[in-house]
Amino acid sequence: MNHSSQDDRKILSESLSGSSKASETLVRKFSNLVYQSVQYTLMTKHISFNKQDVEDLHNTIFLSLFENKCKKLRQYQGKNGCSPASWIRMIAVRTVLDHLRKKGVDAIAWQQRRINLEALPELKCDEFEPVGQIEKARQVRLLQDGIQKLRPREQMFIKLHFDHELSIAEVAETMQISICNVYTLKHRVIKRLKSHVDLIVKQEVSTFQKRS
Amino acid sequence: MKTKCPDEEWLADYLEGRLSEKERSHVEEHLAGCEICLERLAVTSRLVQDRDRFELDPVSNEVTEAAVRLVTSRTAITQDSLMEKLKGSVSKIGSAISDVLCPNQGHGWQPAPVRGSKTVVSDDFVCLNVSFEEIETEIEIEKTGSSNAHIRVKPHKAGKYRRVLRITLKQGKREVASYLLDGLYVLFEDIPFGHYSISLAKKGVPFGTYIFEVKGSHRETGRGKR
Repeated sequence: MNHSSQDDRKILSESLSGSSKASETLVRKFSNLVYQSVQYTLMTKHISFNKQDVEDLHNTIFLSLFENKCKKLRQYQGKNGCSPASWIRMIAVRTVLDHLRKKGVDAIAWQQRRINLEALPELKCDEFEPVGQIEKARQVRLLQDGIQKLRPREQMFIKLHFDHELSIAEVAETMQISICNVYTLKHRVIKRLKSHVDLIVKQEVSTFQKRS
Repeated sequence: MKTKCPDEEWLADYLEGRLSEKERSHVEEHLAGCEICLERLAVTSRLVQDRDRFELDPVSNEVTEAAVRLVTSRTAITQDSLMEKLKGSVSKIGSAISDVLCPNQGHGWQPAPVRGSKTVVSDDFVCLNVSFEEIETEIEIEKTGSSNAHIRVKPHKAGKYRRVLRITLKQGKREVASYLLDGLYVLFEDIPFGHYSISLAKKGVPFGTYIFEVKGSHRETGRGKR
C-alpha cells in the first residue's frame, strides 16, 4: 500500500472519529475524483446533462458518505488493500447509475439493448441456413437460452464484450485475465453457443419433418 | 439462485485483482446473473482504464467548497446532537442516582420533613438539631444585636468531615457565605434577620438544605426542606 493510500485511510479514520477538519480534508481530496467519475458515467451512458446535474450528484455522493452518522463511511474496511480512492470511485459510479435507473433512463436502454445474431458475425455460416426461416425474435431467445447455459465467467465475458461493448483488452483488464485468455474464452463461448443453437435447430427441423 | 450483491469494496477488489481464485469465482457467479452489478463493474473498469477518452472538466473550487460546507455542517450537527444526547443521558443517570443516593441532588427543591428538634436555651439563644442525611448537625442561633445574629453550624463527629464538608448559607438564591469545615464548627457572624437556608455538601455532593427564618421576637422558625 502506498503512502497516499495510508494517508487517505488516516483521514477517513479521523473523519469517523468526528473530526470536522478531517472530513473537510477528505472532501477536498476526493472532490475531483467524484466530480469526474460522475461526468464520465453520464457520458458513457450517453445521457445529456448540465453542470448543475454533475454538482448535485457530486454533493449527493459526499452527503451519502456522511449521513446517518457516517453509516456509509463506516463500511470501508480496506482489508484486502482496497484504497479509499478506489472505494469512493466505485460509490460514485454506483450512485450515478442508481440515480439514472430511478429516473427510468437505464430501463429503456436495457430494453433496446438486446444481443442478436448480427452482433455475433462468427455465428453466421452455412450451417445456419435453416435458421433463416426462423423469426428474428426467436433467434434472440435461442441465443439467450444458450447464454444462460454458459459458465459464469463465460456469461460475464459475453455480456461485457457484446452488451457493454468493452474491447477484448478492456475485458481482460476488467476480469483480470490475459488478452490471450480472453480470446480463448471468446472462441470457447462462440463454439458452445453455436453447438447449442445448432442442436435446437436440428431438433426442431426434425420435429417439423416428422409432422409433415 | 441470485446471491447477495457484493459491496463497493468487494467489486473494487475484484476489479483490481485482490481476490483469491475462490472469491473471484464467487463474485463472477453473481455478476453473471446480476445486470446491475455487472454494469457498475463495466463502467468503473472503463473509467479506470480510459478516462482520457472524454475531456472531463476538473471540479471548480466553488463546487468543492459547497460540498465541504455541506459535510462539515452536517458533522457539526451530528456532534451537537451527540452532545445533547450525552447531556440528556448524564442528566437521566444523575437523576436516577440522586433518587437513590442523594435525594437533594437535582432540579428544584421539594419540601420534606427533616428530622430535628428545637431547643430554646434563652431569649437570645436557640439550638436546633438537624439531620442532613447521616450528618447530625447542631445549628445555634445567637442574637447579637437588635437585628443581627450569629449562626453556628456544628456537625457531630466534625473531625470526620474536616476539610471535606462545605457549609453554605444562602438568602434566597444569593449565597451569603460558604466555608469548608476546618474545625468543630462554621460560624456565620452578624447575619441580619431574615429567611435563610443552610446547605451541607461533601466533595460537591449535597446532603440537604435546611431553611429557616431568624426573627427578633421568636428568633428562629425552622422547617426542613430537601
